[in-house]
Amino acid sequence: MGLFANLTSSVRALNAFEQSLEVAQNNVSNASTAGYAKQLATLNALPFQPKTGLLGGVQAGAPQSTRDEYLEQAVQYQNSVLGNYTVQAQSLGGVEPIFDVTGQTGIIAALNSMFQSFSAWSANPDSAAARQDVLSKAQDLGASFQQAASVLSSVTGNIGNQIDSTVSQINTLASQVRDYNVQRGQSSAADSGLDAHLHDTLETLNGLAGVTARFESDGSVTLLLGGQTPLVIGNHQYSLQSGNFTPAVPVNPNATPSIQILDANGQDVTGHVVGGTLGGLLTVRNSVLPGLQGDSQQAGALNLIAKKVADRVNQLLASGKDPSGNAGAPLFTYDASSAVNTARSLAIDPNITSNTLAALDPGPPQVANGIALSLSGLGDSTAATDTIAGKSILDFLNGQTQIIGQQVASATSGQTVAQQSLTQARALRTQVSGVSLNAEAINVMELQRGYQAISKMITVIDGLTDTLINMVQ
Amino acid sequence: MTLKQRCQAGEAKLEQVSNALLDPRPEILDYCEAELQEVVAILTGEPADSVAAPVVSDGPVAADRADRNDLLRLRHRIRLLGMQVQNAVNLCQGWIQLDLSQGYTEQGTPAVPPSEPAASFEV
Repeated sequence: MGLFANLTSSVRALNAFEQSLEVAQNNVSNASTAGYAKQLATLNALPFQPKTGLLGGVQAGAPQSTRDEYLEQAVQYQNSVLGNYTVQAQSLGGVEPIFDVTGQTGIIAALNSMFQSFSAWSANPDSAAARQDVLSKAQDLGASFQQAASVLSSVTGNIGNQIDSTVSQINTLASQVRDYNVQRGQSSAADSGLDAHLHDTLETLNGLAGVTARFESDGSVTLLLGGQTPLVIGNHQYSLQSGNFTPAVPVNPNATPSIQILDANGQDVTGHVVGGTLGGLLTVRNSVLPGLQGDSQQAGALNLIAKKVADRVNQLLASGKDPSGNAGAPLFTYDASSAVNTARSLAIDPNITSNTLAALDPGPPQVANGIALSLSGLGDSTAATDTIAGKSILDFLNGQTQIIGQQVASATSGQTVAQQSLTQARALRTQVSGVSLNAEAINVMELQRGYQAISKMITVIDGLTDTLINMVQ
Repeated sequence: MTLKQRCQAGEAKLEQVSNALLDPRPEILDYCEAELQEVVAILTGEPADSVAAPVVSDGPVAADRADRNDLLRLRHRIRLLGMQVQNAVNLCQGWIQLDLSQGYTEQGTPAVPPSEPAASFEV
């Protein structure tokens, strides 16, 4: 091997070593970069055939990523599950106080107080104070229903805004993936920075909605919402949008419409949103809340309870006689024009006074406190006219409380489990493709020590060679 | 072993070391250090034959022009290797400074501490 060959080999050696260190440098610099996967330097053996001019040696190859797409998918999936449970727990947490399981506040407390006031009134049907207390507690119950309806309406509005915002974020992130595809198409070589940004985007995206990323042979990424609806294909983005949905023939025309997600062609793809924040929001908005406040097809539990209480109390009072011998006046009033407006409009009748409350049941037999007694037992009555869906008023209310409590508990525990699973998946990913600053530093320090030892040996040999040259002069 | 043979053996070892250094791993560097120690042994070892054996010792040594050229080529080779290794040492040092040491900016330049308030020259 001649001088030129030696020089070539040396230059190649320098390049290979520089590139190896550059990879380490890049790993360390990106240790905290979201989505970055550790790169490994590769060295390729070159053919060694001196007779044909092939000088052998090793050449630095393209750095290889340690990214494991299976682990990435595990992290993305867990992030999607976490996003779903987190937003459900947050949203339902705002609804839970309406149905206070302790009975100290909310509708349960107001309803119990009113039944207790009926009971006290039945013990002293002529007591002005007891009558006044009935009015007061009835007024509180109306206010409690109105407040509950207001809270549900507010939660509904907030969730609607969150859905709009989430859809907007999904579109923005999808546009970043499209931009990645454009940049990837302009360069044949993989770029660790671009790759890090892409995977960070995919992780965030899956926190918002369950999105499937498919890596194509040309290096581009295809994004599918719920594995079906295209969000990005190559250089094209297909934006989502949210919109209200009301059936053609609604039972309750004035009800709050449900929300649907539309694809770029205006097709309803709500069913494809299976996870993430958006999935959780849609579940609460289109399933949980309508069950309470009603929608175009149903009255909602809150309105059913309000209506049953108001109607039965008014009917019982109307069947009785007040102290003046007149038929009892109705205690409650509400907007009967729509089944979904009952709770938000429930109030005591403006014409009622304590003197027009009818405690006497004309019979026969006539009972002085008959109506008041019936009213005091109304909450637990299982008579067909007093029940909702086959349950007494209080049982039905307790059932709703349990349902909400279970949903909150399920979302909270799901959130905890998903957080643990996500942490575990991220730890596993870090083990495989994360950058360890200590490991990188130890590697380079060991290299430096080794090179310094070799350098000393070279100095010795150089001196030795000089001595020999001087000796043969 | 003649001087020429020693030079050739040493040069072959240096070539091996140079190629081995293309794969910068600690165990490779240990191997290279051992190889270089062998080069030292080759150059300082007792001669296998007595013909013009240039051992490192006192006294005149008979050698011809070709031996001197072999030695010069060997020295050139060892100096090339020296440059290769020194560059690696510098790179390692720079890397460690850049990433592990305080007092450097992200661009690798020394971070100048905030200057003290300048003294007033007003009288």
